[in-house]
Amino acid sequence: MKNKLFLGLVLTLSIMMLVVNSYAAEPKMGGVLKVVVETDPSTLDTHASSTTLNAIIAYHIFEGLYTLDKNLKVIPMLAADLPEISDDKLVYTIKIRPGVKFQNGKEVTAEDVVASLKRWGKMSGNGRNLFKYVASIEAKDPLTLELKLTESTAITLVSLARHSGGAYIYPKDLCEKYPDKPLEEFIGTGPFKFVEWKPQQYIKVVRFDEYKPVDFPANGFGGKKVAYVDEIQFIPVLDQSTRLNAVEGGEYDFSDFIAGDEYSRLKDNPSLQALPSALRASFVFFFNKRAGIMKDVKMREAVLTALDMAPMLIVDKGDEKFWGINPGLVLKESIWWSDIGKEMYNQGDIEKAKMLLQESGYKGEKIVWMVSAESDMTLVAKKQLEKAGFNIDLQTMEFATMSERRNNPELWDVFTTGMTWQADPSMLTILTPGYPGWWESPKFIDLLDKFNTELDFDKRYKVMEEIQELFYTEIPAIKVGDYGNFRIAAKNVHGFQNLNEPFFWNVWKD
Amino acid sequence: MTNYLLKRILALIPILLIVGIFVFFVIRVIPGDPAAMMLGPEATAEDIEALSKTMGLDRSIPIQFVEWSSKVVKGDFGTSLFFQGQPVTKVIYEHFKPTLTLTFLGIVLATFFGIISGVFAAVNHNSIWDRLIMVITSAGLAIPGFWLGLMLVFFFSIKFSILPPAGYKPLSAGFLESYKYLVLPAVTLAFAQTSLISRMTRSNMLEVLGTDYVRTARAKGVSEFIVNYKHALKNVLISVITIIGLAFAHLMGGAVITESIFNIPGVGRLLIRSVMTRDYPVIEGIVLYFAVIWVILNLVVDVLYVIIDPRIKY
Repeated sequence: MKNKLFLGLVLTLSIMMLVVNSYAAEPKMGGVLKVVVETDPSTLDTHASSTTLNAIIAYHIFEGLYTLDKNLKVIPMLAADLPEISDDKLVYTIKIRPGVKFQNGKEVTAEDVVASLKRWGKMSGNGRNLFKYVASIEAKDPLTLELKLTESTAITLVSLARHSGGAYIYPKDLCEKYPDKPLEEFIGTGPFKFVEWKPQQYIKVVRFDEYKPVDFPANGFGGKKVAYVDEIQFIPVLDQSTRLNAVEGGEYDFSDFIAGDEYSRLKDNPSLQALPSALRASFVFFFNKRAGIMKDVKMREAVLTALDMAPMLIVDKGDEKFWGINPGLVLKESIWWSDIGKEMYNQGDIEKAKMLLQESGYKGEKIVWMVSAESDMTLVAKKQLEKAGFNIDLQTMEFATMSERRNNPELWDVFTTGMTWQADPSMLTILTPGYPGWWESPKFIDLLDKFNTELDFDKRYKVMEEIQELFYTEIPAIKVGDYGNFRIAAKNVHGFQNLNEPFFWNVWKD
Repeated sequence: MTNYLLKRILALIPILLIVGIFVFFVIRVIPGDPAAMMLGPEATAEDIEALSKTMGLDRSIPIQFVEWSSKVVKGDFGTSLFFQGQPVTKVIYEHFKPTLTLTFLGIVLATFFGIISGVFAAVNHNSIWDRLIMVITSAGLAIPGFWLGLMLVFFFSIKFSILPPAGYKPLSAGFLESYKYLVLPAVTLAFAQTSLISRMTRSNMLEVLGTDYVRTARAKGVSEFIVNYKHALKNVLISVITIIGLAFAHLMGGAVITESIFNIPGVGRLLIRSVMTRDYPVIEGIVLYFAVIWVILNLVVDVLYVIIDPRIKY
């Protein structure tokens, strides 16, 4: 009798534990997720701005025709499938998924898509970049649109799929109400709908009950999206230590942009999840090639030769989980990556740099180097270069001042900045001729044109290799290295996919 | 008195005019472009130029000034370049509320503890209590606010989860719920102000306690409590109220560091953010708001002088 009782108790307890454990692993609906962001976004209208922060919040509310999977390949979102492309590669016929609703209850039609893309093509730098090749775009029927190009280009789908400066789809009447100024109302098709924005307090979004997901599993930034939490509040917190304290103290649930040197303290903290992201951006030193001392390629080569990249990355990012040495212009995980030019990169050879300086006839003239207040690694670069005989005038200034001064080639020789990952190499600032620094050599323009118009991946890859080789010959800029973010989340937050950028669909709280 | 008040209020007009014109031109002359800030660090010069044109920022400064000043005289301070076209007055008002709540709590704490401790120290001059209060108030003046704030967060929020580490809830969320978030930042602000008020009160009290009329009151048999807190303290209040008024005006300008540590969306943070993003209409609005605050608070202090000391007449 006693044995039966004992067995019964063990069985009951086992079943209870199984239920409790499986209950904890199963997504739960409900709750408010408080997500810290590093500052207020400038707008949620990605047609009006290409900052990453704007896109990170915006893609909870809006969607585009396409998006990117976890390998950064283009997959359909509002489009029913990848487009039909004519044999001459000039006509793209895109069908829209039927029954998708905007958050104001209206169904999405091709007219809305055409109006949104035309607006994006006019307002957005990324849009203008694609629309250089666009002859026309029109709705063929309520669920079909046709995009005609003047010449074939490889960037069509990837331009429509990118997030920052994204071609998100808005209702046609909203595009007509705000034809050339940023939206003041936000209505999209995403899993969350906009509720309110209290500047410097929060941006609040709630679950959109009539959201229609795609019919394939979650993959990267696409696939099936479920709004498990009732509400997300994006809360701007400027100070890094306040972000950390607020999550550690249990007030908020998630934060990005925590200092990397907190990792060793927090990785075993039982009340937090320490989440180092994949490497997602690069540090770059841009040379002024329009005027001044850095027009001389020998000078640029001397700088590249002198630099030892690891100390700079350590001082800025701390733990080696958050930085990486990489000669490639793209991140190592990218299908476009190669190590062509690696012998030129990360030499740290002061004596060779001194020789190159002599050959260039450098007489100790001041080299004006601009940096915004956030980065210390340029100080390390300065120390290394001074050993080789460079005379660096390091000018630290706030970002607004630097962004104006760098458009004037008479005012600077080098500046430091970060460069976020992009869906396609042609979208990187390091390969944008008009970006300050102005890599406009005929050889580069010619290769870039080939890269943008070639559609075959293998041929495009070869051109990318040539571009990278030219990069290490002409040295228009210095790729320092890659870096990632340190993110933290409360223990009761589940389902978070720690990709290049964070998102909070398919995330739930216990 | 009424004439005096009217004159002081009317004096606001030339002050606002001079301040407004000066700020308008100075912020447009310094480098930095709101369009560049809106577009982000990876925008090209062409992108920035295109947005500048849309925002009307490519027009000459005199033309922008004529447009701005013609609206301001009608009470229209324009719309923020960054906060979704919201009116500047609304943006400032939304940030004014947290600042007012925080400042009010801070000043109440500082006034109460400052005066009480200052009087107590003076009355127990040279005792162990006096010396202890002097040490604490010295520390209060020397300790940087950001260090104190972080230490308070560490002990009361991280180590012992008694109070929230950061954030803000408006009064509409409930008095206790709102003040729960304001206790630590208010203490951070109040500590230095309490120390200043305490030392000022003590020093003036010591002076007053040595006067003839206080000796006379004691000789008449008046209790020590009435001597200290009625006869002596009243004469000390003039200088203490000046300090309190200045502190209030200073804090109403926003305590940037405290607001940053505790993530309070106050006027200080708004100003910093507006300057960094070159949100011209908001910067202009905030500077005019500061001018108004200072003028009005100085006026309030002057009126309080009259109430406290009937000998003062304007």
